[in-house]
Amino acid sequence: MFGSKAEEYYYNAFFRTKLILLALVLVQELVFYRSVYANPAALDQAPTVPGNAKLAAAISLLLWISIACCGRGIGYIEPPLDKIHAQMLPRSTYEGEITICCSSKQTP
Amino acid sequence: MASPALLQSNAIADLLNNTEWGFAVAECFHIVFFGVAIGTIMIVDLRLLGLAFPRTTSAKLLQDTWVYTLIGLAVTVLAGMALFLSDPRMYYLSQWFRFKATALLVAILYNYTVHYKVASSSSSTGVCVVVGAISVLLWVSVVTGGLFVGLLA
Repeated sequence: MFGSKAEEYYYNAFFRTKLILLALVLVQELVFYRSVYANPAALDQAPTVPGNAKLAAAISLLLWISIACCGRGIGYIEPPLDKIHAQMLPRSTYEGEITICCSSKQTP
Repeated sequence: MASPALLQSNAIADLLNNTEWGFAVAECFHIVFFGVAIGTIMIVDLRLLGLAFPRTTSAKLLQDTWVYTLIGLAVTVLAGMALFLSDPRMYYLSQWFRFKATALLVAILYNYTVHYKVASSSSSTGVCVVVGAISVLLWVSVVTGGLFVGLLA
């Protein structure tokens, strides 16, 4: 799907945010791996759900809901590719054109 | 009965169509709560199919998840109605929307009749597998229909 409109996705703020949030999901898994995810049997045996497990679940839910919302948002904005392409042209190209333009006007 | 053309002008349509992010916010509610509904139904379905949660029963899973399913479906349908009112004529004429609406109606009826009865009782493995598979098929049809409504509007 990314390959179908790679440049548009690349410059889309929602797409970039979605990728960052996906990376944060991985970070969240790593951060809570030892204390929560590595030993689910301990969670089952605990009389109440530990605070760090609740925190991990809340962060996970928040991240995935945000990812879904960003996914929807991708279609609502179109990056100004024309402006981005214009900014990417080397500055010397414009300067060269202006020089040629001015010099031709000044020539009798 | 009001025709779709008469529904074109309404307060919800004005709100969704004349604000920059109104439609997107309604869609987010629609998608996120549908995820909650279908996710909790899928937990029970995975148990019925014998693919997950072997140490617990489908009845226990159903007991633990039915509230989230109900809330998810209620918000999804309400947000969906608001989205429909933003452009009733387009949705009314869309074959994919009709497919999705029909599949959703059948899936909800199935979920609260056959699915509920089998998941909350101790039916045979064969019956559980068939009921779980039909449930998955119905909800996948709803998702597919929903995706194509947007793509082929």
